[in-house]
Amino acid sequence: MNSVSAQTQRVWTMAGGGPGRTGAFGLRVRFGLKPIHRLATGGAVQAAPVFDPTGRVFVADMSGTVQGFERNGKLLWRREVEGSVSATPVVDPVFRRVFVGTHRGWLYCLSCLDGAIVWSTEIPSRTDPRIASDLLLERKTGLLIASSWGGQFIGFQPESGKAKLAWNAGISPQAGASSDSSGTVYFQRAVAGEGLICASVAPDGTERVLHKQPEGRRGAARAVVAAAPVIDEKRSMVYFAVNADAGCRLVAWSMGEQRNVWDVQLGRMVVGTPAVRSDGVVLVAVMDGVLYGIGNGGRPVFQYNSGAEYLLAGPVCEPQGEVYLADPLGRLHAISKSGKGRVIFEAPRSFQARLAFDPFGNLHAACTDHSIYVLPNLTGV
Amino acid sequence: MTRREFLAGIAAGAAAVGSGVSIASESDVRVPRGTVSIGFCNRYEYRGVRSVLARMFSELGDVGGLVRGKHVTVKVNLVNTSQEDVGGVPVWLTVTVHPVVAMALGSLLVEFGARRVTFCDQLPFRELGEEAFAGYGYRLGEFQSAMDGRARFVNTRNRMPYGEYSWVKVPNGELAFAWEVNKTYVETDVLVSLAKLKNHVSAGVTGGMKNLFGVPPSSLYGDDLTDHPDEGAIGYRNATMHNCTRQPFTSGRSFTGRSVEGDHGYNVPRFIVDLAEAFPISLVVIDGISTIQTAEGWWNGSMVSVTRPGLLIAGRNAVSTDAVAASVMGFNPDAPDRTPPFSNGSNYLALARQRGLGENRIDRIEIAGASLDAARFEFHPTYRRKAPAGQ
Repeated sequence: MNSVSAQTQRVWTMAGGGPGRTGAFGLRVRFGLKPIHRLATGGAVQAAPVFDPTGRVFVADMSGTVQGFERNGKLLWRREVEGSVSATPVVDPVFRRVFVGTHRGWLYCLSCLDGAIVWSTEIPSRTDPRIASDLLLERKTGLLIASSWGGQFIGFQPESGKAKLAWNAGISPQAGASSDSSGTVYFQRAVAGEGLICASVAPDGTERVLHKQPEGRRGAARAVVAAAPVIDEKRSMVYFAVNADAGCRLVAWSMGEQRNVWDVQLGRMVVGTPAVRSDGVVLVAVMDGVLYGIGNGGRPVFQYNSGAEYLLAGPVCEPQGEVYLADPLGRLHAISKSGKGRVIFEAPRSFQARLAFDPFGNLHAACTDHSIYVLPNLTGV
Repeated sequence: MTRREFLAGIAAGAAAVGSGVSIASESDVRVPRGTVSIGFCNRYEYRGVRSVLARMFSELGDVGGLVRGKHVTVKVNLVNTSQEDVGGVPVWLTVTVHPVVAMALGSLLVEFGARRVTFCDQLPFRELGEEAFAGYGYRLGEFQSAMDGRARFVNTRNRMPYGEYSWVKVPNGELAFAWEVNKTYVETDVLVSLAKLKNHVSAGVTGGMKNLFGVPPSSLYGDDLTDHPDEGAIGYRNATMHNCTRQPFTSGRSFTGRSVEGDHGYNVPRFIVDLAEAFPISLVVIDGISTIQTAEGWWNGSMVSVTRPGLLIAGRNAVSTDAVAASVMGFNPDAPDRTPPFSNGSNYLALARQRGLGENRIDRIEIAGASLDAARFEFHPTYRRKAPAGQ
């Protein structure tokens, strides 16, 4: 059971589904409103769950516990790691490994089957080595890519954990990198004196600056780099949520024209990675509590007010245009193509991680109440 | 024992303070400890917050007896300027105590019979009354409505509205012999610390005790002073109480000189304990509904991130309450120095226990309300600085 396309993933092996981070699931879904499972975790969950093709679920949490569950919710294994985890892990479905990065700067390769440590390595740093950004398994080069507060993106050989490639990640990176089908990796970084830089790294390691946003009044050190770039390969677009001062500029960069073709200013910063709907509408969860649907040219398509003061996790969507969003008040919203929404589930504590679909379309909502709530897909996949 | 009586007898040394606080029997040192209550509360909705706090106070014991007929001073953790935000999210959702929590607390104190409730902190604004608090979302009119007109706001950045300062001795002070402060912190019967649940780069975690860092006034301790006190000063206390590159301009010598220049992680924890010993806190309330993690403020830049634990924490002993707060955040409140969350210095909770101020070992603290396991909401670890030379 492989992905339907690079654009719409069916097996969500990493944050946002696949290396393009589109948050778009490949099959139509319709949810029951009562969870079929509640997976008990070791602590609050701030990272999205990831899956292998059989539907096994892998969850890393803030207590430093990594767990594997069977599709039916049965616990397969549990592994303690050195440090808490907020970066979404990544699954290598071919070699059945799950990679986990921790706040203490450790990177682990675990067996999907029993959680055994295949290898582990510590990111060197004279200060704080934490890994706060979602991991990326780049399919063309095969590199496992992580950034650390040591200031670098590092490409590791997944079989050994040896570093093969490194480049500047800027100040306190919290955003994962993304990649397209050619193996080009997209990322952004904040650099004091320069501002916010959106850039790419080719498979041979050549870096290219795509867009530069001058340093805001508050300086680059206060610009939170937390949302990964989103790649819409169907339309040859890459979207960057570039924070500066109190707001965010959504930058649309055309891979075909090799330039920034439009941008739009949002009133508050963005920390959740946006999604791209099948019709190309970009879905951005903003720290004013509103989900914005933004069309071609930056045209506003809809605004959905979640009722929360802010949104910490990006949305996900399915092929018919239905959008799902979890908020810090513990509510899960379903939002129609036209932007009309409703709360379909409420948990006792905040949602801070992006939602995720398993290969059968069941929706996994990682909650800070030490749970993953699994809402069943009723379409009979 | 009233606060005035305690302060009058302060030279007698550290003592257990307040009713409802028991003394733990230990072979090494006798330390007070009190029940700490944890309550779930996910929204800043006045009635909901008030209801949760009321339940928590009933679990703590006699909060009514503590404040009935008394003048209560609430030191609010407002810290630094209100003219900032975290990526557009206002300070009361990130850095400072939300006004709804303060108002709900004030309303309950009045219901319990408090004669007057003074909310105070030193704020970097010229205004000394309610105007200084407006930027933090605090509206005196709304507080008066909720508190039968018994609320008062005081910006304690200098000696006003009093004509002189008060000296408060530190019985066993390590870095401070005494503090020279606004009389608001002395002319009171009960001191409440209303804090925010956050990490702190120098102290590890911030809570009820760290909140007292706002007590020494800018007019004597501020960074914007040159060579003499200035009633117009509004600066922070970096040079005097973090870096320790100079003494404050108090009217007499107040610091021991045993600080380490440039080592925040050594100085800040010790000043916290010197403050907590001089200004005994009778009740701590911690706003952990919506906050930030990794560090303490917008000034820490992009390392901080917004998070929502959805919790309130309250207790009668400040050390025990802060220890429970640290534990809720996923940290060991008795961790060795220079290990998480005290990554950059000394464990001030352990220092406070050694000074007899309270219990920080989590297995010796009684917890009411939500269980610690259910309430645990692990924060991102405190940012680890490069260690000072030689460490």
